[in-house]
Amino acid sequence: MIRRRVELPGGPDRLWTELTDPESVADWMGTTVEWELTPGAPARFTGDDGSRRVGLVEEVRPGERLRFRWWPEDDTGQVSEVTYDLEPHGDGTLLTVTERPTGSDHPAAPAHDAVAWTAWDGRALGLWASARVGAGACA
Amino acid sequence: MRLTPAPGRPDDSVWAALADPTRRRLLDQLSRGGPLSATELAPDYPVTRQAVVKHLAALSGAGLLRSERHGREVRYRVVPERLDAAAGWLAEVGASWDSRLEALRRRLEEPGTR
Repeated sequence: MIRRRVELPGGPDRLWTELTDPESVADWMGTTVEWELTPGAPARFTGDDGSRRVGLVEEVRPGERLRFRWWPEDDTGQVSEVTYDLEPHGDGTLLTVTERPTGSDHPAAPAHDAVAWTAWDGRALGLWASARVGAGACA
Repeated sequence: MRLTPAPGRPDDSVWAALADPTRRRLLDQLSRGGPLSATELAPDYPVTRQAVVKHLAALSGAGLLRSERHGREVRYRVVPERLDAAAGWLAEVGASWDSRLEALRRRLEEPGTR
């Protein structure tokens, strides 16, 4: 599981707009997004490099949390679930981004045990991989 | 026979095995100091030897451990190749978020945005 926590300027409402408005997302994510912010709504992502993904909006709590699932359109890659958690922090907002793999047999399959995943960022895995290839595979 | 997963998509059974903290710890320990038996491993864990045996079986089932018989003991070692796809996915996804969040920060720090 990947987890990143960053403190960003501006309040949660402004950050929410940045995270959800297609024009903003295209700018910082390098991805065109088409979605309706309603749980269960389909989503479509097109990267600047032409890569296409489809997805599913799962949880929408404006200013607090957005959760969606996405996977490559050609169905050859990993299905994963992305969560944005926003918390007010002084004059800014603490944003936590979590991306974790889910079952690939069906995109709507339940994610692997969320609680068990939380304490791990895959660094150990990266270590094993890098020990084998002789270069850092994981930051 | 176990089919190898397509490149780029880690096997679901690997993720399922990795989702448990005790199993991750076992993998971590075995990757540093294997091969070890359940009896040698168990004292370091706050669970019964039986539970350790069960976790080792789950890891072996996912192809992450290989067992070797030494006399009366079965010892386990890590199969690092099985972790390549998962490690590659984690590295790639992590790097993507690092650069996206950096771009988001730059955007928010730009004077006069909104």
